[in-house]
Amino acid sequence: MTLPKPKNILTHSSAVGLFDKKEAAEFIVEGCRHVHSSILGQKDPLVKTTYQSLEETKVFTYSWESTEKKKQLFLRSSSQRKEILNELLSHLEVKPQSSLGDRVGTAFEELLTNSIFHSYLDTNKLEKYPRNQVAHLDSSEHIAIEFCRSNQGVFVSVRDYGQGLKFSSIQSSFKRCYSQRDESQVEKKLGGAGLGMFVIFELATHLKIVTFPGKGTLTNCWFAPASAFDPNHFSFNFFEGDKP
Amino acid sequence: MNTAELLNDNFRFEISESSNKYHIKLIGIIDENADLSSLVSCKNKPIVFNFKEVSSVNSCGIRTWVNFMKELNNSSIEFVDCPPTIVRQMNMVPSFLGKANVISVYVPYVCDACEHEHQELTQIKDYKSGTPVAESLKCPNCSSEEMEIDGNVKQYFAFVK
Repeated sequence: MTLPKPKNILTHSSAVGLFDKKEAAEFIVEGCRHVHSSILGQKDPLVKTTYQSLEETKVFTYSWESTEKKKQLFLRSSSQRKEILNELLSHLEVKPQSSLGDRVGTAFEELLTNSIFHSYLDTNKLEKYPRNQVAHLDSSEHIAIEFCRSNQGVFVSVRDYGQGLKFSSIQSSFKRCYSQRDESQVEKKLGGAGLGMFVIFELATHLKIVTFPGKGTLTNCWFAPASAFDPNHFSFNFFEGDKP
Repeated sequence: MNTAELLNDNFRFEISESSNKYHIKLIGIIDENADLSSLVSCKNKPIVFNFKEVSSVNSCGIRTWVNFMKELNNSSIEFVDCPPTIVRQMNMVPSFLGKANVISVYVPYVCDACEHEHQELTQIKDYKSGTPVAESLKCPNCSSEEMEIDGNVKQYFAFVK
């Protein structure tokens, strides 16, 4: 398969074609902030939505993000992760051991872990909350979770109020995880294994990240149900916003 | 020998010995709290890990397992009854598999008509010898012929060397 070359649209570099996740990650490492893989290519309605919004230089909204049927939960402590996960799957009526439940549950846990431990820094710019202790978040740091389900899949959104995820952090994570297929994929330093965003990207059908430098990160994931799951149909979009 | 160890609320393992091999059944969630250190002493004999009842693995669990496999370094290791969550780890992080030999995996299917899910145990030696993996099955729930493999066969078996 010959890959279409990434092309620049306005200030954003983007790639559209039919890729696997590894190929898409290579585009991201090279600087693409918008990658769409679909058998329909540029005729895919989601691709059209993306490009139309990019031409208008604004963060686009997928239909599943604007539904009024969304429910909300808040995470106040790292010890609540399992409880919140069970609550989420219960509200969504997704069995934990189903294909969809496995993908949503695994990605959701990584999203929460990233939000608690990577987002909040102390005055020395080190992780504020040690991983070997229960993290009780300040009230201004409570992590907001929104979710809903339709026949087409599951939407999960996680919003933290930390430093804001940098695009370069995703690039270095993908570079390590996709180009080094050996033990160096896994971070040896204390703290996390450095696989969180890699796992989320592998599991989500559509992943959209909006970062607000110094003010937090919004990560939106869409998961296709097992009956419609196609590993070559996915997207990745990264935006920098100024207003949370 | 037949032992069962309760390690934490979410993870435990059971060890039995037969045919001069240790058979270790892993049960629950492999995460940062899964302590595998006591299993390193089994490396003096071939080990068969059964993953059938592993329900999930998070990123810290991947690291725990990769480090554990390194400690087992030159032991003879087999993986049996690997559910999709374990196959996913083997495909994403090759060092999760290390030098182990995979004997069997569960292939996931989903019915387009009723969304019922089913897993079919597949022997890797059959796959390697060219026996095709069924792309579709008859749904045991609604008898529809539209139960199809969940994902892509080639990508699912990418860990096979």
